[in-house]
Amino acid sequence: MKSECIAFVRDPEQYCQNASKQQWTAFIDEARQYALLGSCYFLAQDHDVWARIPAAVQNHLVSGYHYAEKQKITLLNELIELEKIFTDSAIPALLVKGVAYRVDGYSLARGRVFSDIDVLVPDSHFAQALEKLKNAGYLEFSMSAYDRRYYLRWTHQHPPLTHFLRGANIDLHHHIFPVSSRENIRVEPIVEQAIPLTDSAFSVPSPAHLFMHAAVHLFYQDETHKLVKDLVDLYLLYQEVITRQPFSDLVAAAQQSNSQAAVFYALSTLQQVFAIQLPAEAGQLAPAASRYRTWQMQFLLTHLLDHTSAWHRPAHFFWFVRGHLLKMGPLTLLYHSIAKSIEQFKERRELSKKQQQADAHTRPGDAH
Amino acid sequence: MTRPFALELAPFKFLINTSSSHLYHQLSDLYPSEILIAKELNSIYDFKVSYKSRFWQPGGSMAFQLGRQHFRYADPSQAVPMFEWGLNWCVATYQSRFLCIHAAVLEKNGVAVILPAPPGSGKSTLCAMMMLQGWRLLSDEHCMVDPLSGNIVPCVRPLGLKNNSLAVISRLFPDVKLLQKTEKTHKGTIAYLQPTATSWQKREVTARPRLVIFPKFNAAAQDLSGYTLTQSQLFMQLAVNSFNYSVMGQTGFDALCRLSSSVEGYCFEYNDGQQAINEIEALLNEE
Repeated sequence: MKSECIAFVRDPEQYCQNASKQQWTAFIDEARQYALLGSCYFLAQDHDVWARIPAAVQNHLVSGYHYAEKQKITLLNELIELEKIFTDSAIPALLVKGVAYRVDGYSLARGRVFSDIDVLVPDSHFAQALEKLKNAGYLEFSMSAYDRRYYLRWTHQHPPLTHFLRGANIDLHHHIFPVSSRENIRVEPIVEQAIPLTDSAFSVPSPAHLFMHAAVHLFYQDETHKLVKDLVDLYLLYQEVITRQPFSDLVAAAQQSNSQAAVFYALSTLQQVFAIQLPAEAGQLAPAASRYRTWQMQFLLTHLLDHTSAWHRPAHFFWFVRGHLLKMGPLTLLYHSIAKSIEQFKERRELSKKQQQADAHTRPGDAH
Repeated sequence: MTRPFALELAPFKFLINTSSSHLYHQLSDLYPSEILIAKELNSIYDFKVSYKSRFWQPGGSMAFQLGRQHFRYADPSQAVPMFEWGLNWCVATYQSRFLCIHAAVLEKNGVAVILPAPPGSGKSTLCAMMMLQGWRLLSDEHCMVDPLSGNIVPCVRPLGLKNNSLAVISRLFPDVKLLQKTEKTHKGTIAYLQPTATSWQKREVTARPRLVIFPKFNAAAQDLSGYTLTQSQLFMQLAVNSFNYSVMGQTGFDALCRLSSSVEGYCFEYNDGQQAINEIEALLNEE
């Protein structure tokens, strides 16, 4: 395992004891890249190792802390606006993913950076919710016709909505996994067992469902640029979830929503990467996971996290293809790949033109 | 030299990976040999910078990157100024340990004068003149306020001068070397002054802020004119000129309150830099 962030999160005491200066350099670089500085700041406080961290590293953890705190305020302000929109409506709206961690008081939310607000509304009320958001100024911005159709036809969410003044992004979901997939992951149990927030128009998923959602998100994804962050999130979430709900609820949540395989892969990965101890009940999920896929996951993850491996770069490609094949069947994927290649070719041409114009007209000071 | 090398500046150290075989040599004009050194295994680097040419970019342009974050492309003939701007960008964008104000800071007799100003106000020229008259340079770009102590943390780097400033400084100080002069950048012609030996030596010595001067050069002005800023005006002006005030929340607010209540603030309009410097010294001696 070559990821410094994962090594730190797995055992902060030991890491601080043993890390060389070269490792700290790599740690700062990686934590900045995956936006984990704020999370590591709080982990260091929780594990009482702050004083053992070199001052140069502390500087960056403090920077990450400030950034995350600012985001927290932005998020809470945006939620006040969203409350106004959904209050007194009969729409069963759930805050999911990072926002749910924040509003439901999970300690992993501290220092955590997010990019958008994820809202889940079941199909039955989806159109109504979308209408309300649009009327309140959350609009769709610049997206190619193909991408828009891709979202509407194949994915589990509406194209991202951005508030026209405040710039806040909302991802409005109707499912937690692309509808084009052959995996039929059910969203109903999440909605039915949601926990209402006090004095709020919103609910949040139960802890077991939050974990299930994170597992699905991680294991059917195709991107690698957030992998370390997602793994750290999943680990910290798991640790909190099992203090809030018995492990058997996790198994039940997976069975009800038909995501046994994803949850099994998630648990076995946490075992592999963070050496967690799994209860025997985890074995109930094993039949849903094929041995080939388990092996494939473990193989790719091992090499994705090891920058020195000869398989490191190929693993990115295989991960990408694997993620896409899970999201859509092979024929859809072929169609999508061709269409997307043409799209990207056009976009790149546009982008390089724009970049050149930007370079010509901006002063470096503008970047700040 | 295309092996990685380091700039062991204070408070941040940079590790540089570049494809340019000239960059190290060019930078040795601007940085002393105890700062521009080979990569050390025994140092913690704050920023790992990649500055490499991309064959698919026109003219082999070099991309300045921090991790996956891209800053700008640079024509190889403008590698040095873009590198310097790139370092500024790293500090201004990716740290909020210190409150960072876009300002020059100089120190004399243990107290610091802060000169915040938008580009084109003559800040750098004034800063260069002061440094060449014996003031210690803390920074010509980043005024770093430590929220814990209220002191100014130096961020000593070569002092960039542009366009007309170059002629002014050459006329006033004929012996001073203007280094790595580069023409036709998007900011015009730019060249660098090495900080004085004291400035480099004391690059880790903080200073207590005493004065904040907002300078404004006006060739048409008859004489030096100026007015005092109230504490609230000063607070707002400093906040506007800060790179990371909005990120730092309560910590930033407290640091800026402390700063603006512990200094005096003035706006100067002048056409003669020397007169402005004399006035600054007079203000310091008053107290």
